[in-house]
Amino acid sequence: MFEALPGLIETLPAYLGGHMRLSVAAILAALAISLPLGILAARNGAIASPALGIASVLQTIPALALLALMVPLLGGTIGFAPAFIALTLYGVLPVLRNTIVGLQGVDPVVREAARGAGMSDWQSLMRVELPLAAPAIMAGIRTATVWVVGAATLATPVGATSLGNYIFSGLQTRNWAAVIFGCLCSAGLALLLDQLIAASERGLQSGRRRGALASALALILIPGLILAAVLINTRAPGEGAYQQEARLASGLSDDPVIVGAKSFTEQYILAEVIERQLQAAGARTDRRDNLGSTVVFDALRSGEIDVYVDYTGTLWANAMGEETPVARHRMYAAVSSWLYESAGIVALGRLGFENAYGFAVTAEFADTQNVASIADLAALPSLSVGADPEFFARNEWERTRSLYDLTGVEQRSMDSAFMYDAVRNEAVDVITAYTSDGRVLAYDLVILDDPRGALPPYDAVILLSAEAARRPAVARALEPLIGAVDADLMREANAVVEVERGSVSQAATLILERIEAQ
Amino acid sequence: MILTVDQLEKTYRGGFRAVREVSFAVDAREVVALVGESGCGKTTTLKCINRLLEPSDGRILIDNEDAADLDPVALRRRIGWVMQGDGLFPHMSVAENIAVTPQLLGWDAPRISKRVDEVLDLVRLDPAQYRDRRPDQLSGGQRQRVGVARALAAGSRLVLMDEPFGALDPITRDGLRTDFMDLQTRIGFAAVMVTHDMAEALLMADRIAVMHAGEIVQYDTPKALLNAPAHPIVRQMLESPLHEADAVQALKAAAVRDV
Repeated sequence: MFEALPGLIETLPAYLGGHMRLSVAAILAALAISLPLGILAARNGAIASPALGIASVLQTIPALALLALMVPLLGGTIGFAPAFIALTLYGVLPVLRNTIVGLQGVDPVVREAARGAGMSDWQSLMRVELPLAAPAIMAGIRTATVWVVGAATLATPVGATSLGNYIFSGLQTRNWAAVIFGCLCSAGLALLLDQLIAASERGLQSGRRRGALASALALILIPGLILAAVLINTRAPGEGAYQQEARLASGLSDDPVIVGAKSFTEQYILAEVIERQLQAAGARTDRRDNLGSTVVFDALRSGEIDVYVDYTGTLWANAMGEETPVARHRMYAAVSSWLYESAGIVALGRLGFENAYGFAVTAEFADTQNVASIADLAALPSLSVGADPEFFARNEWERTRSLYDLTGVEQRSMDSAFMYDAVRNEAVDVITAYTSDGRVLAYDLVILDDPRGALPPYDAVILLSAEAARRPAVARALEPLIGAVDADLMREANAVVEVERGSVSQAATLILERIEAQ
Repeated sequence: MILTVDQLEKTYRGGFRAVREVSFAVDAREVVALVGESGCGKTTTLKCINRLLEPSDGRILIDNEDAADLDPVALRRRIGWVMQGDGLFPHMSVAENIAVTPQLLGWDAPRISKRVDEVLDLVRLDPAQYRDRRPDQLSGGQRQRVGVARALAAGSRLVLMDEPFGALDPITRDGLRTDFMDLQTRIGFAAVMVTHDMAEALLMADRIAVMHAGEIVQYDTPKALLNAPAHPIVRQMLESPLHEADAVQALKAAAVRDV
């Protein structure tokens, strides 16, 4: 665990900085919305109930879903904007509710005294009502702060850098040290901000202006310093005129090519391969990792990212909304023409392997139960299937069940990181493995045949945004990858990370060396 | 006349006529009590005077100026206001509470500070001891004194009081009443005081307006009221303090005989 620490700390300024920037901005924006709205609503019941109603409904939407929903709502924009808006909405309720409750809780006798003494409505609010409601409002601000800082870890799948990067990529690559490190940092940040607000509040209440001032100063300085440190750290290293010239000559403009990746190991490896290939051609690159499956597609369509790898079956079902799968090559043809016609997205070509869903059992289970195909499963007296939650919601699960008459199956949703161990430990009988996963080899799993074609093909395809497609040098740089990564190579590379606990970068090197050698 | 209430009407939303054709006048240095059971319209009348409530009809003249023509906020800064309960601001010290209206009037800090000490002296609270206390560090009687001090702080010539001694125990109440009478005689402000306690009105007021169902049924000096109650309600309201006084007298006489 401790040997992983230096690597984790190296990325801390960027992740912590992104996290702070996002959550502080969202908390401030939530305050800017909810304080005036709360004040208005406390005086006008006609506003109070709809405002509280809307805020409460927003609160019941799981934070992850709220974040992901912002991407299509913003026309496919990823990164800071959708995360900021979602977190702001998330932070509104506690402050709004406590402002309304706090102001309404001010003794009417005191309010009348303020008017009787000759205060205008505004003076009564500023000098009497808000100071008396302050403890409730501050409690709301603290709640909002803790919520927003916590929920900001979920900004990672919509492309905003946060401490969630540790958690999401750690979960996928089974790097538990990274997961714990991310959680600790995020919890620590939440506690720190909470305590700073509490301290400045105590200072104000006890009338010790100096104490309050010091805490308020700390409240501004600590985030400020962290951000400053990050800015210094992430400033691009100086570049010679030579590199710039070379880049211009190669047809790659100064704009960085932005490489996207979904949140699993294979995607990290392929993004790294693509990135290095582009860099070798002289391009500047940037990365957007851990994007949600639909988020990454929307981002490519809107030009937020330039290139990523997707799978034909995913595009067929999710983007095109098709239900019945077709054969591998026909699907690729249909998907690529649909992408080009509907969004100007160019399918540069197939890498050469499929990452399909395959029903996998242990070799021992296959032997003792005598199963070799999905059709054999129907004969078993009981069956439990482990899969990622996405799979059970997909059409092919319905198709598989009806084509092979799988009734009375126990469905167990789990994160894909855990399902291979689940089947190995006999917690479930069958899993819907990803066929290119390194653990299929390492755990000696058997992929069952699919004679009736229930499971669609999932050819890995390099996709270019309309904009990137207009830069021929990008396509030229990536061409060597087409058809160069077969299923075994991909499994081997995945196993480097997932079984041998190597780094993504080592896995990428493995692929690039093999391609070189071909 | 420092205050003239002329044909005042107040009808609440929903049509309830809380105050009907109420007229009375208050001279400088005069204490007028509005007396009646709860719901008779006395507090509504009082709140119409400094426009905490807007009158539905009729006129209110303050120093011969029509209150309807004045800015209500400015009007309230001119008129002292003592509340049922004390109505002190719990987050401010005694001095800050008293300083509220002078501050709103834009007095400078040294003048305010001097004035705070003056009015604390007036209500017989030692400034050195009480200026910096918070309301929750005071007894009920002390809080009410601060309430009076706050109403007097800006030097108002008219003070409105809504059941000012209602929430106090009898001994505290008695002491506070006596002090208030002294203060009023010395400074000479005019006061309109709402009370449901006829004995209090008889003891403190120069003139008493007895209210019933939104109307004034008799407006007279305490003497005239006692001698010639003009309405059954007035007779009924006088009965209880007189009856109590007689009973106490009788007991006292009996106690003397027993000795």
